[in-house]
Amino acid sequence: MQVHRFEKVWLGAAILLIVGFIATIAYGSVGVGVGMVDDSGGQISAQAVQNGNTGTQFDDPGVVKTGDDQYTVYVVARQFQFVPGTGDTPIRVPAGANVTFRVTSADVTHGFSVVETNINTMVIPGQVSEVSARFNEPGTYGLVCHEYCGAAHHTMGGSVEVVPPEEYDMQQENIDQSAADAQAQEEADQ
Amino acid sequence: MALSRRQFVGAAAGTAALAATGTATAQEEPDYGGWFDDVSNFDGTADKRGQDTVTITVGAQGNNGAFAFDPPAVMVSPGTEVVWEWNGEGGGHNVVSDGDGPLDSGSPVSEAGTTYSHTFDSEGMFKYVCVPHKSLGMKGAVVVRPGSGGSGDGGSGGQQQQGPPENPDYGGWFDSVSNYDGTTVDRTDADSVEISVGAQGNNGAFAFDPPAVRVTPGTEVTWSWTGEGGGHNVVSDGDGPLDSGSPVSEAGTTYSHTFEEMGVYKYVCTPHKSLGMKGAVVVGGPLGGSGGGNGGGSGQGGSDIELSGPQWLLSGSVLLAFFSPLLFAVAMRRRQNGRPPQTGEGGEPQRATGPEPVEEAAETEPAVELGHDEYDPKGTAALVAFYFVLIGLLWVFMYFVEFLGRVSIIG
Repeated sequence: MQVHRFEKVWLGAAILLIVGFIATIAYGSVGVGVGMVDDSGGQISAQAVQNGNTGTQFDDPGVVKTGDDQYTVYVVARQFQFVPGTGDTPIRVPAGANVTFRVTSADVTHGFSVVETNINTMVIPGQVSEVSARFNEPGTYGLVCHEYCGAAHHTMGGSVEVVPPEEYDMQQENIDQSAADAQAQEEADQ
Repeated sequence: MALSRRQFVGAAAGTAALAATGTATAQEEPDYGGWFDDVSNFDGTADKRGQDTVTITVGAQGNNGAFAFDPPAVMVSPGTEVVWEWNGEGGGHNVVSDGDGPLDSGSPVSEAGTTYSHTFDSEGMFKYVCVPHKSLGMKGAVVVRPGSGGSGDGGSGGQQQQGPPENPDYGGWFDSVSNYDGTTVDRTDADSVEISVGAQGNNGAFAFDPPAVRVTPGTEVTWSWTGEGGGHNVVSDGDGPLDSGSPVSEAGTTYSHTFEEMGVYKYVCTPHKSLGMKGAVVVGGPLGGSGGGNGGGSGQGGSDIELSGPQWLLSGSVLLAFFSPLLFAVAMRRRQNGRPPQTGEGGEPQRATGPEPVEEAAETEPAVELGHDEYDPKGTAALVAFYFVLIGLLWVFMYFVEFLGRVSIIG
């Protein structure tokens, strides 16, 4: 079979392009460190989440400081709100810190998507979705449920407020030692 | 449920006559300022003045699910303890004042039997919501106002002439009931009324027939089982007098109840409620007249498909699109037929129909013969190069600017 030399050129270029795409993805995950959502969050009883007797920080969801520049945000998604997140209880985290969101559902499958970021995961009852991120710039991000969860799905949303570290008011968050212990205990259990 | 002011006043006046629940009169109806516009189960303020404790159900049916307070609006005397009681349906609910206010039951809970209470000492209007379901219309109000309340005393004598209005507002109760045609069957002339249980409707034998019936106070209503559609029962929606017990399927079973108090009595068949097996008995109200007229009109609502203007346009254009190839073929044929018969080269007349035979072009000798590699498709190469540049630019922009430029998951 005879192949015209022009065709050889653009066949080669197409193959190069594909190699380039794959190399980019590899660079993103290895070089930059873009993570994937996996099952590392562990499992939890959705019924216990609903009744508030899980024995974990999900009974009193909110932001917990777990170390220097390490924060864990416990969020319970339920029809039709994020706790915290919806209404006048935005999730407040400091800029520049490593923030881990631990999100679970009390009833049905929800979504947890921080708008204009790549933080985006399903929230499945019985499962804790765990994603970490670092917000470098202060600002306010929208938070939406992007999995249809019922009649008022379209109203389910909230906000994430990223504040400068020096303004981050520690008093507002429950950073007492017991919460940190509970977190350590939970991690030890897994 | 958006009500204009006139409708609202009308509804308030109508519900004022519900002596069964002792509703406030129209003059006393508080102005909620549109608070209940989107609350499907709101049909007036329940006057519970004079009682020490008043219970409100949290998670009652309404607002397209178990997203309602029942009763949504209640009037109590100062010093009354109001108890909210969770029925365990509709997920987690709470009771929180709208804006600044005394009510706050904390975070949403779903467990049946949960209660929250508050004693209202000062007069005023206390609006509250269930925070997760506020947007669905899960809202309520407690009006604290001195007075005796209208439950069953002589004060309601003047209203008893009226009863529920001609077209009672069922508050969406019949939305999912297929055999309800918008009319309430008037049986105010009968001493006893029979309703069949297991009539055809709601995609099977899952209906009450008639679903809505109006009777005079003191009428005995008998539910009679047809034996179809499995086990049925007749149970009041929420608090109410009707309860035929567990579902039975035997034909000929009957259950009867004599309605003495005026009001709207909603009931369901528990196992088939979700299918739309719901009904209502309206006790009191207009005598005769209207019922006959409505009954006559209801016959035509059945199987006719009525199309409005836009629907005609839509279905017409779909049909037209469907038949357009045929129309095109017919048009082509007509054009062929209309043409005068032509004679070909051989002098034979051409066929009057069908496509004309195409003359093949005579092959000409090529001016120059080119080998495979001697021709360079430069235009195509330029186009391909342009595409590659475009893809490359989009790739860089999408991945490195749009994706990596944003806050990403790092673990």
